[in-house]
Amino acid sequence: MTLETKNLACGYNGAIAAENISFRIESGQTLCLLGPNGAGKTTLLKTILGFIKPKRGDIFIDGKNINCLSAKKISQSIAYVPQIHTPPFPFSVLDVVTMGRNVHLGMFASPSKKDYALAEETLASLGVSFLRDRIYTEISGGERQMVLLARALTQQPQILAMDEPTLNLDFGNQTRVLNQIRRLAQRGIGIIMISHFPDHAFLLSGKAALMRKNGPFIFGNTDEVITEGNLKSAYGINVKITGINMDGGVCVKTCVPVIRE
Amino acid sequence: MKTKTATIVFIAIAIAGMVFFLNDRYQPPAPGGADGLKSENKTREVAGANGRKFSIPANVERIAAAGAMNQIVFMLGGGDKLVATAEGVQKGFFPVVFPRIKEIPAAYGGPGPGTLNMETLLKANPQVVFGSYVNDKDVETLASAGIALFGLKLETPPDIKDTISMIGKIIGPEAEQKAAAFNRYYDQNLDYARQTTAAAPKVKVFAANSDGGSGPIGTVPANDILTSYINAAGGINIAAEKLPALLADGSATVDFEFLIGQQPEAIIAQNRQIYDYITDGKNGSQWQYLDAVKNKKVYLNPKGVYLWSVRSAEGALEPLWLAKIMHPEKTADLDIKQKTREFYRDNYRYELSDAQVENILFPEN
Amino acid sequence: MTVKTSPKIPAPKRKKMSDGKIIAALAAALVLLFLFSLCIGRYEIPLRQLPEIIMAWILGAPAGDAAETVVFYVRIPRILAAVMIGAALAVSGAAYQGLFRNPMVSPDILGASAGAGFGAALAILLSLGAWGIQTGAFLFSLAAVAITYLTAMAVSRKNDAVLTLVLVGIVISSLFSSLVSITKYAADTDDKLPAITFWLMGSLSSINAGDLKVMIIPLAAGAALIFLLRWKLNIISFGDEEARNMGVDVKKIRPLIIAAASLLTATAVSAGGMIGWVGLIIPHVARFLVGPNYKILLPVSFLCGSLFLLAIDNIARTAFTVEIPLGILTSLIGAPFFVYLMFRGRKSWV
Repeated sequence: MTLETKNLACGYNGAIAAENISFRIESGQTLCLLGPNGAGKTTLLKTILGFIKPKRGDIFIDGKNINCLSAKKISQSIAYVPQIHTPPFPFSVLDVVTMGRNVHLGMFASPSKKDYALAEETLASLGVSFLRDRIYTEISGGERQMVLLARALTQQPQILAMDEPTLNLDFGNQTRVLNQIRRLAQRGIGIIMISHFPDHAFLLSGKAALMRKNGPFIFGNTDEVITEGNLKSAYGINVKITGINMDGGVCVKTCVPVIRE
Repeated sequence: MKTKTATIVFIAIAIAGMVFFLNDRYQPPAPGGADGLKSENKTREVAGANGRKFSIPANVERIAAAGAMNQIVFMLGGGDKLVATAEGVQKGFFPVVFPRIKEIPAAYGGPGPGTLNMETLLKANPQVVFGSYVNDKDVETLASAGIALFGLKLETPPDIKDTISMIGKIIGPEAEQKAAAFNRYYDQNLDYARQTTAAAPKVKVFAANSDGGSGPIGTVPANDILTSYINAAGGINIAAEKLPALLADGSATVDFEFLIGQQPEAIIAQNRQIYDYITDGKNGSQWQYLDAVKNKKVYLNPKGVYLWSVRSAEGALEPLWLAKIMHPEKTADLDIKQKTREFYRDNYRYELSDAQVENILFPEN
Repeated sequence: MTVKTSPKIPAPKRKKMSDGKIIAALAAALVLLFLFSLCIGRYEIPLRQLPEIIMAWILGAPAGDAAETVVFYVRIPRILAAVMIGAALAVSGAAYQGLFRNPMVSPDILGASAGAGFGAALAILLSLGAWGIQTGAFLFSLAAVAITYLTAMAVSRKNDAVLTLVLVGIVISSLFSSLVSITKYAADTDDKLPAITFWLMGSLSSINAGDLKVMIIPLAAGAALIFLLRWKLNIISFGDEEARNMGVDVKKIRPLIIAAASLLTATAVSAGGMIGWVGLIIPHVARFLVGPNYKILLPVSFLCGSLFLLAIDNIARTAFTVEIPLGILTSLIGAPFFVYLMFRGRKSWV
């Protein structure tokens, strides 16, 4: 499946948050969406998901304009993994995960045994089966992120749209989530992920996009997009990018900000 | 999936079953007759004031009554036949003239007019029930039990006479005669008041019925029965004159600007608290600025079994009393105390002591 | 891979009883309470007589003596009405709480009760009779909700539909309450004013079989629709956008649920007067017993609501010599109970 935008401009009500956005990703690719606060990353993600109407330009899923697709069809193709928040009611983890199956259910239907089984499988595939009977509002941030990820996966989407999946996670959990994302990409799922850390883009080594407040939208391979010059123009700080040789001959780049005394 | 469909089907059938079951079991009783009639052979058809026809026995032996109907039943000689009554009449002066009332179970009582405790009523097993504010649903429920419920109005003088006639007719021939006699007496009093005061200029009157203190001053609106009595006795209820038609029925209130503007010639206090408040020179209220208060023309409405100015049979005395206070020169030969004694003697078969007469004409509370 | 778990969380909870058992227990309790309610009342009926009377009722014999009249025409309709109204209010409250994502919401929130109060008061003022009062209350109840919904939809911007609904609901409720005050002002102080006041306090004292017939279909329809949408209600509590991505078109589902819940509330209130707190508290109790999943929450709310209102109505009609209005009892008992629930202090809303 491919997701493509052409000269997309998005925003709420009157204002345009970002414009001239063009990119394309395919199943199995990761796209890390970077940019400073207020650049319009979340707005862009919500426009792609169909929550907000585009101001200009088009979005295509497998060549079809999403204006022509029903909300249900969009949901069956792209699944949303939102930022962690606390819902008002203490549902069990299994119930939360099974809610994702709703995209395949009719208007008055409820999940069947099959749907619950699929939800359990998904939990297992993420290695968090032990969370099954716990209460969603009582588990830790990292656990919740896994649950939301599992919920999105039960929708059996081709693409995942993730809004800052490592927000508020400790260093260890951040890494584990990124690992999981890599694995999902290897299984053939396309992933768009909003992040605040250029290092995430390097770690995922897929595509990257940089949104800037005063400057055009840049999209391309991570190495081309995340450069010292681009980061300076986006964030207004000086950074140095360097590579580190890991085991196995892989060179992983990382970005170090310059802090003056 | 199968158990789910099965449950749904089961519930749907259960609901449909209940609908049909209820529909079958509960039919509204046929108009014109009560099912399972309580007593015996001879019956007669009577139309209730709310339009429904009932079959009731030729001799009614068991009566239930709400509110002022109790007094009417007692007046017409049906006191012995009362099997259920209203809580409100078991206190105050009524038990003095009719002691047995305290022993009769109260089926009417509680919040709201016409709040009928169905089970208590059924336990008392009346044949007819006299109510004032009647709930249609109660009519049907009682009809299913073979009991006739009559909704009788007391809102205007014609209403009162019709109700008394109806109750008399239902209780029996003797009561019917008493009812006719009472209605003649009622009319006589009204006529007397009208005739003696016809020539005199109308007296502007204000009826005060809040309880003093702060807040708007309550009074009686145009459609209140007191207004009819005031008109008959040669007076004008200034509030009824001047308040908008919308409030012809409801809570009527005025303020001091209105009163000072209108300067009524007489003030009739409907309860002791407001009377005391108005006549208390020391509380600094604006009542002091009214001519009527300065001229000491503030009167406390008499109250016997009922306040004479509200809807009840005892209201027959109100026009006389009003004529006396508004036009004393025209009614010099009218002795209210005597009239009161006669009323209690003829209707309640009770001899009032001097102290009791005083208390009725100038009630303590 | 494993995710690091935080050590503070205690071991996973297991419910003491399975959901099916809880529902069975509640249903059994309801049946028992029903039978008990048949036995109590101002008209004393000896216990041995009751089975015969009940059999006669089921077999359709006409009411012979007064005892049978009391059971057939007075108690049974009243008990069934209490069961139906309690269930309706509880289910409606549960639905609204899910829709508004807030457990502090009651079925009155969109003006259903205030509208019904005005409809009834107006009908009493115009002397329309018992059926007029019930119809008036019902129609104005639905009208109030419709006005609230349409106004909110016209006024709200994209993303705050829920907040707008609540605010407009408050406004419309106030409006109708003021209209009730005007009606009271114009009402005859001897009969109509007390009648209006009494209606507003809620009571089942005049319930008869005709009322039941009129109530059943709307109540069944409303409850069924909400039950069919139970899974969507679960999802809606996560927010409009997430719900949309999970295949729930909130713009379509919301009016459906509002319509169904309002139908339930309007029917319940037009028959029994303004009975508050049931819709607010019972879903909390149900959630405490079985959790927030609407699949179980709805049947349990239904049963708990019936049990609660039936128990309270029994108190209303037998505790003292005068009948106590239901609205007063539900408040007196409901308010402290609610505080108690809050003391229970869970980490998230029960």
